[in-house]
Amino acid sequence: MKNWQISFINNKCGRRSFLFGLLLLMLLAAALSMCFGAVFIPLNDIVAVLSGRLTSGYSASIVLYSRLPRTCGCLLAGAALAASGTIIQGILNNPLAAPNIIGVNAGAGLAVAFFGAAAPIAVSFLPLAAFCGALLGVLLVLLIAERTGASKITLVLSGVVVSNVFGAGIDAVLTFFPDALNGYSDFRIGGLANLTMARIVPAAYIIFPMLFFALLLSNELDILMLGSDTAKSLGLPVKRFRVLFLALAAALAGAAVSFSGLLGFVGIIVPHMMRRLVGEESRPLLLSSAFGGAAFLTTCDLLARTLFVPYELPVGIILSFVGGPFFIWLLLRQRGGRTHD
Amino acid sequence: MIELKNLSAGYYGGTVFHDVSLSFKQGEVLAILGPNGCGKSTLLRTVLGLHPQKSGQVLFDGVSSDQLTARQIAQKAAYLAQSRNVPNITARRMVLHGRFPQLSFPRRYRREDYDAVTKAMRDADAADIADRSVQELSGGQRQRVYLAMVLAQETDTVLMDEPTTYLDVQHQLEVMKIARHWAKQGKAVVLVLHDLCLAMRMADRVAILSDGKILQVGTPEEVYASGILDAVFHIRVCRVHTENGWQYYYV
Repeated sequence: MKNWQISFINNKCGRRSFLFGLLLLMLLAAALSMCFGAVFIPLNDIVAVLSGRLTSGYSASIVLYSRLPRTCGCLLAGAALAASGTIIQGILNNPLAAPNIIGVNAGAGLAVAFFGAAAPIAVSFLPLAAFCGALLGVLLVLLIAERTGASKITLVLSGVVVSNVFGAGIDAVLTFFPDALNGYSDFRIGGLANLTMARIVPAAYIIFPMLFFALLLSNELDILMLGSDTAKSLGLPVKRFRVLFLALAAALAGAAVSFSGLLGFVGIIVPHMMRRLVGEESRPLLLSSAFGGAAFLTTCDLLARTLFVPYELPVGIILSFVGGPFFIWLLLRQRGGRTHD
Repeated sequence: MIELKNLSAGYYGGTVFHDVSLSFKQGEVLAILGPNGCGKSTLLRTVLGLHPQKSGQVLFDGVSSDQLTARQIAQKAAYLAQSRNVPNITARRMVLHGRFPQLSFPRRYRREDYDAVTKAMRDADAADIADRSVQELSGGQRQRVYLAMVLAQETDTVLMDEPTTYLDVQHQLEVMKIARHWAKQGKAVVLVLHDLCLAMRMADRVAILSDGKILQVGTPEEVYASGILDAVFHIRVCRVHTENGWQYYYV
């Protein structure tokens, strides 16, 4: 068991190079994602397009209107979901938690279903609706948890309850307005096809500042992870910070989900892996999760659209087929591995 | 010095302890003893503001706790909780967290913080495990890391909730020796303990808490003479004189 745990937690230099390696991996995945697809576009063409030297022609329009938004979307969504998962796992002190546990997915899903039923034509407002729905879901969870003292258990329980009620809401909408099903099922599986820069940019305005805040508050997150009594005795207002971090995580996940659909697995697997590799000190953990999440999602998306050319799989399916078995393997390994006392 | 004046606290309308007046003095080890559920842990938590007080006052160097922020209290008293998480971080990082109350916002650790950590780890005999993950340490080693963390907080008072539970006798004794050492250096050390005999042997003063009331506070000698332990725990405490002073046992 130990030999698998190649860990960089006690080696600052090793950890730095690991982070740097992840960054390179992310850039590599991004470059591949720009080059490969239904048509191969060589890297120097891409550089030419991006630097403005090549402005017209077949490859220019593919790069600008298809590959670039898609790659940026993958990087952003991957980083945001993984960072969000890291934060949520940290505050709930539960390595199996993920954004969906605090009502992000259910809230966004209900908003999308509702929107699809009420205004099927205004597709461009869907991301906004999803984002608002995600925040609404989390807000409800927070409100319930706040009233009951924001303990870890009440948080998880209220997340489960809210998700259930919202799930029933989704079913109700789909029953009464079957036409909404189409848009909703795309959203539920998740995918980054047909992205435009116009859909990504607003999300980016949320994701980057939130990532920055999370990194700024990484010390507080570390203290929170010591348990609420210890954290309080070190002078940290536990309840306030738990709520603050949840809001951060919700904004990150909500912004990502608004354009990517429900890609939940990124938020569990990546932070979990990084937790083992770089340890649980929040700053390096958040950074490596963000880089790793971006690289992972970009790679999965690349697989989704190149494995069965000319057909394209929704990336959510690849994620689940790669992520599911991996997760089961983690669970099996964990029996007796980790100690929590 | 921390003084408790007629302090009461409880859960959901009920009272756990009532009208407790006690002082935690610099330079002495005070052990709080009492049967399960008598309110020992809640008492410590209430003093630190982790649990709301119902009535009474806690004075930190003469200043009432409701005029102090959580951070100011954390600069005056350190707390070793009974249940603690064990994150996958290095021991040194864990001890560094003890410096948290001393940092202002951007939370950048300064030279003096690192120095305090190095010194605390040496004092708690944890220097050799500084670079290992807390998760892979044994119970006794972990305890040393937590003690170092408490020490790095550099407070006048240290409150510990059952610091010897789950430890073997050698490590129990080690914790108590460290507590004595801290008291000698001028800290006020307050321990909630389950082991009567260890407490009677090592503490300067003993407070007996039963049914939410302080029944007696005194030196082990006085407490032994009064026979209060026998009444509270329904046992008979005896002692023998050894070369290390009085050793207590019960039948």
